[in-house]
Amino acid sequence: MGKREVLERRLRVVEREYGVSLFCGIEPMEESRDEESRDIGRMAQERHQSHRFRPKKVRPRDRRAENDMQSERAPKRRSGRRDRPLTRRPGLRGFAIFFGPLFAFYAVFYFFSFLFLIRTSFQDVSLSLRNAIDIGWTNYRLLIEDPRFLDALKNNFVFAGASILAAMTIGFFMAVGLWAGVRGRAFFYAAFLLPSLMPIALVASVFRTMLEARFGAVNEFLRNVGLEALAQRWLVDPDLAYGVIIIMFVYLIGLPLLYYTSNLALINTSVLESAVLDGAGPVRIMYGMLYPLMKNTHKTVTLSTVLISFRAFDIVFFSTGGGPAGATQITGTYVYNFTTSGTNVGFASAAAVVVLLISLVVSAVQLRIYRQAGADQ
Amino acid sequence: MATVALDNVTKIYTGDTPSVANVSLTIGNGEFLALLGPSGCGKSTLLRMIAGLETVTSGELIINDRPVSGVHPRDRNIAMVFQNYALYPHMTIRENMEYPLKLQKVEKKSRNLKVEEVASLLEIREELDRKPDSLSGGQRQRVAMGRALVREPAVFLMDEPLSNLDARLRIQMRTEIVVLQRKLGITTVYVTHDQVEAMTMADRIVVINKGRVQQIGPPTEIYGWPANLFVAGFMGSPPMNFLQPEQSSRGVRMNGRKTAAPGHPDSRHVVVGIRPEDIHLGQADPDELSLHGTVAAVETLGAETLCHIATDVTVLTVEAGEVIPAAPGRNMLVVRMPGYRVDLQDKPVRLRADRNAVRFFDAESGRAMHLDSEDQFGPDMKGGLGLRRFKQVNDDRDGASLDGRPTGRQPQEKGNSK
Repeated sequence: MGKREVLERRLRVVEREYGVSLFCGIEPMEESRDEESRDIGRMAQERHQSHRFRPKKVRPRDRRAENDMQSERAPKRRSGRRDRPLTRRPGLRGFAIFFGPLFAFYAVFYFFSFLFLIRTSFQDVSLSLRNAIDIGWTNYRLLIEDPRFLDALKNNFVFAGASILAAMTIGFFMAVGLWAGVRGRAFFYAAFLLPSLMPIALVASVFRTMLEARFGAVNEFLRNVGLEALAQRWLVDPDLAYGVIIIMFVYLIGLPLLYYTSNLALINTSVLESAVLDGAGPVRIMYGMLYPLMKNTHKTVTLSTVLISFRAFDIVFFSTGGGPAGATQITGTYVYNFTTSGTNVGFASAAAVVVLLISLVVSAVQLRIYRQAGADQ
Repeated sequence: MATVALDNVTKIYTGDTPSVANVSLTIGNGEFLALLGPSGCGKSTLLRMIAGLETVTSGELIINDRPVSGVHPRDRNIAMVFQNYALYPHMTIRENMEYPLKLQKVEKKSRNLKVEEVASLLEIREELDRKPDSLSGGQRQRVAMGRALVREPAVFLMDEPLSNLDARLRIQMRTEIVVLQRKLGITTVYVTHDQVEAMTMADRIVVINKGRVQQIGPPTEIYGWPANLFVAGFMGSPPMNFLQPEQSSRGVRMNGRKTAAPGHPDSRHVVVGIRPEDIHLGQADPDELSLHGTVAAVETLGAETLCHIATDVTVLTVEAGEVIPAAPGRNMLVVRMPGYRVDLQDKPVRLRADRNAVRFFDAESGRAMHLDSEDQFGPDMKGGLGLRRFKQVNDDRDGASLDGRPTGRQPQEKGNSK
């Protein structure tokens, strides 16, 4: 049986099953056709020709009548199936066009990168990525023994901790104040939300310029008001630089503020009114009612801040660059510095894998908490 | 226990339109008063002003002879049950109930005793160590009441506490609240938009519309002698039938028979009101009101039947304070009949209504005419329309409630109608 014959037979089956002719431009094969199929083919061609050359505007009522006629002509369909217009379902091609770019992007930038990262983490390889030598778990062993990596990891958690503390105290009180309608709401929103909306690299660069020892705005101001003794080498002294990074993390509490503000809007005010009637004052309402009622938001803020701290490369890189002497190094800058040094990319890959695993664990905990919160509600 | 007095209390949020306007009333010691009205009428605002959750724009609020308009809510010795119960979700039921006592710095031992006592009263002892989310609607409602009761408040405020419950539980809780209130004798102000709740629970009802008090009185008086067209139309389900009589120099007539209150000047336009249950099948006696029509629709409710009867008489509807004749062909009277009467469908019927059951309203002001007659002839003579008999029944009720407990009503606020 030839290809053409197979195709024609399939088209006949489609027409019989669905009442739809797909004999568009296919000349039926005279020699292999029986009487019935000849009739079907001719009818289909006629129908196609009439639609092609004599387009007729169908009014709704006529269309209904035509549908009725079609339903009489067409064989019985499966029950529950709606009459569909003569359009084709999206096939594999449509699916590929729609999702293809996404898959390609994902495959190159995530899947390949991830595999490449894991592969190189077990190799001793330079930045040229040539002459790689498999060295097993050596990179990981060296990484765990490297005090600078452990310091960077510790810094990550310290900065995250400071950020969490600021979010759950300053952020929370600010959010309550804004929710309660404190004066100058617009100013406070702008002051705390705008930095979170701006590129962090820009914010960090501005901080660095302001804190520059000789001509920075902060020291200039201190000198001008007679407080020269307070003018410090902010980004050179390791302790002060450490403090500067913490202040920057605290400054970027816009996101937690948003979390708190949006969740405060959902609080049942009757609960607070009830507490007022029971005799609770503002302070007690704050820590006895609002704070525990925001339990799930605290969890979200905590975990998202920890995750953000692992991605806070730009805060440190554009302000202190991880210095002085690695005092403000975090895992992001640590990996970057090792990669660009080009000596052993495999080692930097191992560090990146470890950071990734820690982030995944935090994300998993966060997801679990979200689900739990959803179930509670 | 306490008395609560409101003297010309007004609340204006923005602009000139008051949400609550010049409300004056006194709530007696141990009285159960219901604030009843449609959504947005200002009843909850009034309750919140008593609670201290809203400030009073003008007027004075007095609890136990002490002006409290400027007093903090916690110092008013009141407790409130909210529509959504407002339980503290992060605390157990025990912690919820003892919270007000804790804030009053009551000793732990005394707190526990009090919580156990109230929990036993409300039958929620088993639930004391659970969290609010694990309780049913009815149990949460009890906990909310329990939290209010442990404080032994002078005044109990309830803001639609049953509206979140299903119909069956609502009926059960309705009874429980009434029994509890009578047992404890706490002065209670209860806000509701459900007239059945107000009718069944309250010693007196305050009907409010657009921030203004329409009528104050015992349920039977509110239902039987509505002070104006709003009250007459709002109370009762289905509401009162409003009819337009024939009015001429010969007086006010319905189907050719002279009607309307004695002493009423015939020149004024009158609206006749008859409750669906006061219209009966049958030939009218000479002193009864006669109507006729055809049964257009029958609604069977089990024990009774509602018949919608197409009639020649002009039926009126009251919308936004205006009396509007029904559209042509829509002159439908609603009649409530006992039993199962599907046999009446499409049948022509003759109807009669006792003159004592007929109410008259001024079409322009909406005010009930018996109030004018009362002014004219004294309180015992509301137009001679059977009021004497009605008052006698009410006086018997005023003397003692069904369980023999003095009701403590203070019926000095009469009418305050528009």
